[in-house]
Amino acid sequence: MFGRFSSAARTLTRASTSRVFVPPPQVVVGAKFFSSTPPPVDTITVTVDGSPVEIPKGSTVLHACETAGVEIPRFCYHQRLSIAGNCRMCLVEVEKAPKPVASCAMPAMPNMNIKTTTPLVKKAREGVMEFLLANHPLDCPICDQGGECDLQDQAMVFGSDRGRFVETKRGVEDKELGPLVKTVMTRCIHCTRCVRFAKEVAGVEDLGTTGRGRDTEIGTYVSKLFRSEMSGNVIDLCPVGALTSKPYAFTARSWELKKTESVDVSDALGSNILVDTKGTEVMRITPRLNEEINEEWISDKARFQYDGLKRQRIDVPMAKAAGGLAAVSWEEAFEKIAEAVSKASKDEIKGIAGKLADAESIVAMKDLLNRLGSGNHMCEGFPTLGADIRSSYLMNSSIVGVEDADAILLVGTNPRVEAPVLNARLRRACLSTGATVANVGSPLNLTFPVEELGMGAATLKELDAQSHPFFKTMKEAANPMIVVGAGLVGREDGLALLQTLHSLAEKTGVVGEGWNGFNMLHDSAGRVAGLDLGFLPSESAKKAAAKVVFLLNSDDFDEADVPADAFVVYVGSHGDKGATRADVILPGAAYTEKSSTYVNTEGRPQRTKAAVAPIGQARDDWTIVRALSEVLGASLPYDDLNAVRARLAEVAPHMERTTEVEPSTWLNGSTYAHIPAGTTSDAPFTSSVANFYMTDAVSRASVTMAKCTSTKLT
Amino acid sequence: MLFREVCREMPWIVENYWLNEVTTVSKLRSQVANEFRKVQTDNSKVVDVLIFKGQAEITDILGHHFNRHHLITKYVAPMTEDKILINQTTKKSAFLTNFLKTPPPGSTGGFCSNQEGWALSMKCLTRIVCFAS
Repeated sequence: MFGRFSSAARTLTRASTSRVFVPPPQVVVGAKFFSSTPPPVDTITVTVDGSPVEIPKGSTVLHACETAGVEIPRFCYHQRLSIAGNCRMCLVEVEKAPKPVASCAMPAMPNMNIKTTTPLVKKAREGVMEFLLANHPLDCPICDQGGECDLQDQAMVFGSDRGRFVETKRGVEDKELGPLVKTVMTRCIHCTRCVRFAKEVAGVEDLGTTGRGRDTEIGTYVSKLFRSEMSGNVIDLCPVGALTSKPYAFTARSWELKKTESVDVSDALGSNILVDTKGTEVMRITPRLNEEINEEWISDKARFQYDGLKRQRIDVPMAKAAGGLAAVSWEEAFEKIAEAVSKASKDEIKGIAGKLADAESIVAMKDLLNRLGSGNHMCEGFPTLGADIRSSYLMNSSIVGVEDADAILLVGTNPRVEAPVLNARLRRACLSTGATVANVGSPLNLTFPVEELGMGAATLKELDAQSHPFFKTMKEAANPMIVVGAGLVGREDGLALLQTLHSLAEKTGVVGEGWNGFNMLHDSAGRVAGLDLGFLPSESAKKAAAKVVFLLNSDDFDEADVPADAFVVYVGSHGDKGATRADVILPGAAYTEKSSTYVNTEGRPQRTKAAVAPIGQARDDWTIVRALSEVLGASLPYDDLNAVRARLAEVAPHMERTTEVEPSTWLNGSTYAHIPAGTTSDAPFTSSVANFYMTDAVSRASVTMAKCTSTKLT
Repeated sequence: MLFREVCREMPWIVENYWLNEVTTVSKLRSQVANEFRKVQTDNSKVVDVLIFKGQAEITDILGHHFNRHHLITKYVAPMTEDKILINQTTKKSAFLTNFLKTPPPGSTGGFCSNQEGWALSMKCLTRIVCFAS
């Protein structure tokens, strides 16, 4: 009987990721070390089910059991949240303890003898399960959590086959948390994971517990919405079906879905995601664990913008005709482009890479333009930035490194809307290690205290001249950090401001031995790849007036970059600003439909995977450029994905080593030494993202994101 | 003689100066041939000087005393002036032919899930039919 129980118990915590305990290296007494060894961690030995385990001092009984390979059922315990110890599902027996102990909350003591397979433990778990099921509705067949529900799974193991409960079940009124999270509060088992997540990670104290005993309810107390950019994560955290996804409601069952590991492109972090598909449709997007980027959280935009993949899509090539745009064949579209290109020469042919452009299509476009004799290519929104020095446009401290910073200066950025997951890390740096955060730019409403230093260039100059008190704070900090937003770099005087910031970085020791705290936070997924590949205008191209413009997924281009009389070709997936301006539209694939490389803001190349086929006649963006190149008489020498990736690796070798960050070198003040100091304007610094929910073509096409925007405004 | 010598070295030059990104051996060869054809003189002294200068140039190139952009400016770029000749009658590559073929709905890309899904549903259907009969 116990055998059955333990084997089943091992499969219980499917949803939670168990941490693997790595024992500290054994220090051999008397051995000589030339390098410094990490200080030995104090460990204690405990016994779990008869076998001794060594665990670090201060860890819990649950941790000891996991180390020993024994899975303990749990509802309220989550390794990234504080310990609540209120579900009592993780009860185990400890020798000499008068009653079963909650293993998640009990610190392990030396020589503790822990038993997890005794009749007492089994009885305790069955008892807890019976109490939980007493008030839990029997609506699994219509519950969206069905099939991936912790309570369902554990009830199969510990639940009784009949109930002893004869009274009516309690009913709880559903709460309105906004357009993303659906609540069925009767199903709630009060594990308080959502409350702890909101308070600890998201940093909004909207959720809480009211009432006692049978009347306990989770809610917002006064009726209000759950205003967080990471609110969707409570759906994953909820072990039952109390909090589920509103857009996903009743659309699919978990066992019908095919999971594809991919990468998010809604912001520059490149959060790892799972794309769940049924047939040819993306049904939902959930986070995938990556400790170095997003841990197990993703922003609401990453999670819920997928319905934008079905709207406003371009599915056939189109060309401008007498009565507006009309569908044409690929040949006709290519011929029109060829005709326009034949009238332009060299630098008059221009390419602009947009927010969602992937590295493969950028390199193909660059090769094509170069073959046509043009050096006129640029990333949208970066008029002055150079890409000669990689450290000048990357998040050099890495995303994990943010947590080590102790004095953080935000310049022209709002991490809460530009990268909510990074904002959660900043919050952790601020609250757990006591980092001081200051802001130069429009006042911010972040989830942690921020010192407002000033609005614009004047404050920056004051800091650089060492006359501002915050200069001292940065100078004295061990790991000072500067976070520069894309909004600042996109300004006319961006280069001059970056010069000031580099000088400030040098003076305050932002870059030192083993620490580089000069961070640029980009606002879009395609940007760093464009800079890495040198998708920037050549000297001669800066003066050229474009006659033919290729918009590569570019929807947020500057009007000045696309002359009114230019022939515009849009390559992309959505009918947005770019397609409206275009003379010829070539349908590209969206990020869930192609296997392509994106480089995140810390310079980490990652690859998306095609989860579904491109719709209609849409093709992978780089194949469009490749086919076009042949029609233009400048054939590109790659015919398949491996060949274009080989070319990618030739231009930027780090792109081959996906998921790894290639360290960049800091040129101690000489990055901008050759550029004369520019003038700055007094306009206040602002974030480049005005509305978190709508930043690119996909999220602008999403109905869910539109609903979020309208609820945000009210 | 000089032209032949230059032609013999052409593949080496294209490879070592990384010119295969911008041109091909045959294109470069025809460009150099054009340079030779430009000379319209019978004056043997002039021809001697030109051969001497040509010899010097190829020696310099082989000695890598030139940079990549020197060659591009001098020999590759003039070709790009009249490069954009859209000739629809030229033979299309396999890639382009394949690209222009309109794919049957739902069968693009090798990763497509619905093919699997379709196969699966067919399997289920067969099973149901078996049950029914």
